[in-house]
Amino acid sequence: MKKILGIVLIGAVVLLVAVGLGGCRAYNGLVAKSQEVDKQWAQVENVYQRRADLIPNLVNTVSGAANFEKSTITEVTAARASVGQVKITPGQAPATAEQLKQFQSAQDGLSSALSRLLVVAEKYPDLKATANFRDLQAQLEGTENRITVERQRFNEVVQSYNTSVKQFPNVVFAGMFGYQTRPYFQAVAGSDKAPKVEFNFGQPAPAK
Amino acid sequence: MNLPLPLQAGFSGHAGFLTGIFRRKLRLWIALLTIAAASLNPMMAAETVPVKPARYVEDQAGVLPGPVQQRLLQRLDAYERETSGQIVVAVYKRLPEAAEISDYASRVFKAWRIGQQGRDNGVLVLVFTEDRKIRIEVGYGLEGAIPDALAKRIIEDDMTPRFRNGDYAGGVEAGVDALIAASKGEYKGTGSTVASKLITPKSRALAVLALIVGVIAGGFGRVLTRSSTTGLGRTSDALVGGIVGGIGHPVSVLVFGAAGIGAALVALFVTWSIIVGGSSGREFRSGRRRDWGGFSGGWGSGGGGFGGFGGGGGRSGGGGASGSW
Repeated sequence: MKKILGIVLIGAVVLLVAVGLGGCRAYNGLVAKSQEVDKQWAQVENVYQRRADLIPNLVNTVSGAANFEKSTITEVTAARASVGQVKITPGQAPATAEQLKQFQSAQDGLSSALSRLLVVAEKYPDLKATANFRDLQAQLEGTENRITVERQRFNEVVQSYNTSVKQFPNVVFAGMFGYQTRPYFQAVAGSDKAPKVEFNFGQPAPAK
Repeated sequence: MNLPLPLQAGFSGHAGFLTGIFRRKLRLWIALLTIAAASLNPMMAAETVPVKPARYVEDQAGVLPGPVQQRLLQRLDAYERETSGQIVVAVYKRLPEAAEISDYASRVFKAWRIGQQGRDNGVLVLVFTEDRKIRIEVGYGLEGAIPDALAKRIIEDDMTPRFRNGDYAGGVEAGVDALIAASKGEYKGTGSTVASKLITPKSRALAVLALIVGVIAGGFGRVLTRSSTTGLGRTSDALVGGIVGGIGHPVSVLVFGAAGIGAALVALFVTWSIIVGGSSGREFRSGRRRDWGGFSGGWGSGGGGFGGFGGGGGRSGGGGASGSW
């Protein structure tokens, strides 16, 4: 009887140690992946910030052009302001889909306001010819491109994290330590196509 | 079609049951492998980028004459030696179907690993002549030296006006010159290129061959020398023995003398490496490997010598600019 008890006890201890070690491994893995997600999120915020920083300069340049359409400018400034209102802990990827959605819709609002402004700017050849505007346009293009790249990478990192959270045995420990899946960026309807820019303002469309 | 298998196994005897299990296991494995292969396929399909060129300049559209390419290679080789940066020019006729140039360029940049490892100081100039599209993709490490606006200016001021006139060579040369000028002060080079540091398969094969020949010659030499002299130290034994042995056999003085000296050298090498520790072969190889260990992540370059391009970096965040003409 005593012998059996001893064996059971040893077995229990071995099991506990095994589970503990497994738990440590799983925990460390989750920590590393979660850090990776936050790091990539910082990168995403970085490129969005880069874009936001360009806007004052852009607004100044555009406002300088003779009778530039004021409505597009105010639209951009308003969109930028609404981006600033989204409350997200900096350097930490949003935990819920809702938070990310809020962030994304504000940023997407700014994207479309900006692209409208650039479309309108096409109507002002004097403005377009200035070096300052040309540079700004290139910078904006580059920033949009960077945003795409970093968002894509963010989704990749989140996917890897989410997979490991859901996998066994991590799923047991993830629940225990409060690691939950993180939301992805969603593609906006039509965002796979670059905004169409019309060059023939005021002229009849060429027959095709 | 295989449905009756478990049934059949159940009906037949013990052996039949076992083969049933075996077969089911086999089928499971086949199914797993099929799933694995199927899941790999789409990933591969997404990564269709051209094979990494062996040199800095790749012209698949046939618009850059030989002398121009030579000039460019020379300049880009010197550029990497001086600054460690890598500029790669690739000219193709068409973008792959449904590819978007900036996304495509960043994938190519990554696949070719342009720039130094850890620095990512590379630039990719991608031109599609029939699509009339160009992209300058700038790695993370050169974003400071070549901001997007500058890349755009280089495209619009130096390159596309010439492309419009069909002067691809002039446009590419002007663009490369502008990129070199803009990024020159950013990093210090080591005086060599990644490609020149890489041990090519050919040179590695030669080194191994030399080692084998040396060991065989040494073995022969030692056997020969041992037959003509008696128990001395290994090194002096071989050296003295080679000469004494050679004199002792006047018919083949030259041959034995040479073998003896060769043996002496090999024996010296062997003793030295024994003193240092480890067997001769391992020591030799690890010693070699230390030279290029930092670049093992790179690609074996087919070019080897001048103008060859070996990657190491490859991270870009979508910096640069695109244009068309």
